[in-house]
Amino acid sequence: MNDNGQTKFINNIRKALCVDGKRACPDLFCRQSDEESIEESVLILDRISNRQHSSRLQLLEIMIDAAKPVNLNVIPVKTLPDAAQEIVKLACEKQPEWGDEKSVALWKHPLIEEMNIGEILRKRNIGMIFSNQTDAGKTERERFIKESAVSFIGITSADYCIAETGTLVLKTAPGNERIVSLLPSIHVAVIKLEQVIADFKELYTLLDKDLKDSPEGIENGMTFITGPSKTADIEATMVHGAHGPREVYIYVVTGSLFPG
Amino acid sequence: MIRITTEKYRDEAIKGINDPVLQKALAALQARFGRGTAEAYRNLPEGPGLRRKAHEIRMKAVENLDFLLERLSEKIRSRGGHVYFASDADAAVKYCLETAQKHNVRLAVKGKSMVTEEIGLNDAFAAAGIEVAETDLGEYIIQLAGEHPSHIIAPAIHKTRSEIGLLFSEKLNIPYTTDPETLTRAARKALREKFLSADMGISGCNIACAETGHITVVSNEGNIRMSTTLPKVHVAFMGMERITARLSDHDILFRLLSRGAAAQKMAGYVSYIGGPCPAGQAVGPDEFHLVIIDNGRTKILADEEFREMLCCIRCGACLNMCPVYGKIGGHAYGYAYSGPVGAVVTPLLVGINRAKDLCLGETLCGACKDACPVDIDLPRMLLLLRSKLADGDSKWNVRRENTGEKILYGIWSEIVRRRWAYDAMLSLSREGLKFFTGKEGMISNLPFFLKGWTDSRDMKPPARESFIRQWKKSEKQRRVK
Repeated sequence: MNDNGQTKFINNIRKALCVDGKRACPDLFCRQSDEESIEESVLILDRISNRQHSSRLQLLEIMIDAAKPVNLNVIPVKTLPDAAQEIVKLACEKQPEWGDEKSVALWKHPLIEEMNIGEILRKRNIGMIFSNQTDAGKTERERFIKESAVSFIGITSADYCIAETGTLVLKTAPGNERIVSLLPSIHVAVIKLEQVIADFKELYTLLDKDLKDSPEGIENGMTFITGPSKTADIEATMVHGAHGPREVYIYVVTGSLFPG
Repeated sequence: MIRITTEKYRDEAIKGINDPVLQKALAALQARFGRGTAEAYRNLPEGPGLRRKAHEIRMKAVENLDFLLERLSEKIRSRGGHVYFASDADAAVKYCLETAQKHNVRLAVKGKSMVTEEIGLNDAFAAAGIEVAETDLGEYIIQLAGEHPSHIIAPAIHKTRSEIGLLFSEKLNIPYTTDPETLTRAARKALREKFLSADMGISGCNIACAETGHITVVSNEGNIRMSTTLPKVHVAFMGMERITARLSDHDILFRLLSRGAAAQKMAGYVSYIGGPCPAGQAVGPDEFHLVIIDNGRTKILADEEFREMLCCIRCGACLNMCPVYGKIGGHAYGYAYSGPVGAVVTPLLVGINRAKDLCLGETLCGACKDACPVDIDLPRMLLLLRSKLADGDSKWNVRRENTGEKILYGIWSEIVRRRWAYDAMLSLSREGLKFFTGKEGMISNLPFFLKGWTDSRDMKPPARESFIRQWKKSEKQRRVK
């Protein structure tokens, strides 16, 4: 059987570890074996789901501070239409990096559809490319890449956003294409305040839960994005916009209770 | 195909020390990242002790590698990905080359990966007439200049902005400039075209997750995301040890990796990739290949005294603290891995005798251990390598490096255990050294194998009377009083 060298390779490892080939697989993946960590996860999940609006706003403040050193813009807005207005304003101000025409690439995502940004963009003569949800053919796919590559803004949502570092967590899914947050010169993410969590400990606890509840959750992969693309490869001088987006904006919809 | 120049350690080190540009760059690099990383560890909510926890996680993974790799490959194959187990460099390169030829690849874009440097992938592709474009800005500069990386994370640290300006004006046809922003913009444009036209993307793997069956790739520039998203074939290479059991292990490991590599709280981009583009998804590679590489690692695994080395996540933190690397630079280490990590791992991979100077050159000061995000005891293993060189070792096929030295130390140990012999030797050397003592009362020119003692410093001659004799004399005088 052709197993691409697996059997021999694994046997070599077993020999090196001096273990009997028939030893039972230890509890490497089973969470039930570690009571302490289960207790801890229950506490963390409780904390997240019972978090008050005011402490969520505190997290937002922490995120705004964390965003500064990585050149990331975190902007609280009250409602989704407010976010749409802000994004359109941004689209009018900024100039395209490649070519003269302005076009925006968007995820096909409930939050973005609810924002209803399409009509306003159309009025301003700004083109739009949507991630196609139907099974894309080869030519369709190439067209999508080509058009995204010349888009100057890419609009996505996110699954979670981590306050401690300003990190966006994006699970890949049909309609939520990873190039929308990658090829355009400016990446804009729209999220709700409830999606902001404190730190990576909370993130991985949530991901563990997702893994149990909906195993298909991260099957297609996942991307963490912390600020714009950057490099310090020339004499250790920081430059933003090496290959990915040169600017990143996160609009956080806080609901009407936000004091500012 | 694989370039190993560990025998030239001394010459390259001297070259490095005499290169003022490199000296300045290394000092700046260590001042920035070395200190930054130490501070980043202190600012961890769990404190620097978290590194010990990370060590335990890594060690547990290494001790269960067989199960973890089986799980990973099973998961990836279930999504339609291909997994190839390569026992050595040649097998890995051959597999990748055949995959490229099958798809008529003319241009491959590559994200920074030390393991592909280890196996000499680029040269093999060049020989087959396939262009491989390095896409990390530092690697791109090095490739344009026809050189090799000198630092794991900052490969072009030895080049100045004016050198890069000249290089770009010549190769990219842009007006000469020394402005890093303009230079970066020029590389962005040139490489964007390559990303969009490449037929294959090549990446490494930072820390795979066995539980979910994903590899992960980490970058700040976004080049690895491009290389793994746009081309229709993606080939990822991983050293067999770069895996962990649970998804939640990544919490600690990524936080420490980011701090170790660049004193960041979190790297710019982390991507989880588990196979080719699934149905319903518009963009992503049609084919995904994972090449898992042994290339000498099972031998390290089999030796419990060196097994710890497989915990390494190749962040480069030890380079940013090492006083030796800080002076000689990366090229002296003669292989893909430089600095303290190279001083241990290179001898183990290419032969301890062949790369002996690497472990002999380090100072054993312990800075690398303090800098390591997974708390690897590099100084312990450096000493162990030295002892194998001194005594020879059949398991690692090490021959004794210096028989004369061994005999000399044998004699020495006999002398120091006998008072009379020691005293005799002292008075003998006192007399003998008189011939070498200069006008200013210093010894500055010893002959033969003793030359090393006085090559770069003067030595004081032994005192006329030994301390113990002086003490005894004064004791007698005290008693008389």
